[in-house]
Amino acid sequence: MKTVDIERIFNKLSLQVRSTGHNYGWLTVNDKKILRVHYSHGKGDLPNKIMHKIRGQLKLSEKDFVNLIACPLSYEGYLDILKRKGFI
Amino acid sequence: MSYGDVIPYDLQNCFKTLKGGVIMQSKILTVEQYKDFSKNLIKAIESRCRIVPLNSLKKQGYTLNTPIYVTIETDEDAIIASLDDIEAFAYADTEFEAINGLCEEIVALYEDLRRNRGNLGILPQKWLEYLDEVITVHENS
Repeated sequence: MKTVDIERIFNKLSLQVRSTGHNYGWLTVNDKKILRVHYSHGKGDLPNKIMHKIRGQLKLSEKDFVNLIACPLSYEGYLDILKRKGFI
Repeated sequence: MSYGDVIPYDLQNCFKTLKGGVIMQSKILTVEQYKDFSKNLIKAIESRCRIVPLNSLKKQGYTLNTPIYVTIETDEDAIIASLDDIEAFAYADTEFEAINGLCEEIVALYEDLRRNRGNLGILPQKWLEYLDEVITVHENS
């Protein structure tokens, strides 16, 4: 996977990156910070283990992670998963 | 004929003779083979993943009350340093840089969490409690 895929996730979930000095963005729901996701600067491929860790931060299965990038999984669908898993 | 006649000397400990002279393999590896195997296995695991203590966050005004244990992994050319208790990680070309990046990440996260004490979800709240326990901030420095 590539850093552009991560950018896509950040846009889709409206993850807030406070400034360029920070390497992460927050998923905020109802003004509460729920999850923190690593933000990758630059271009190109990301090491597999990094992708695995980002997937872990998003609390998604491999399948849902791919669906989030490829579009079938919506923002609302993602929040439903987090609610089901007890993170919201 | 005993199995000593047909089985090489270094493998004889792996076999035993049952009633009726039937020879049966009772162990897969000899003691020496087992030792070699264990040594190589540990070496292989250590080269992919190690846990090292971190005694300092390398930032003025922040002291660790106790060493924290970070994981060092490699993935192709990248070295990844992570602190799984707070889901933080950083990666770089060298272990030194990756650990420094992780220290910066920990301090940035702690500052962020402290600023937002009232607005944290379940997980970030737990991270803040953990970091409050292991870090002392010297406000005047």
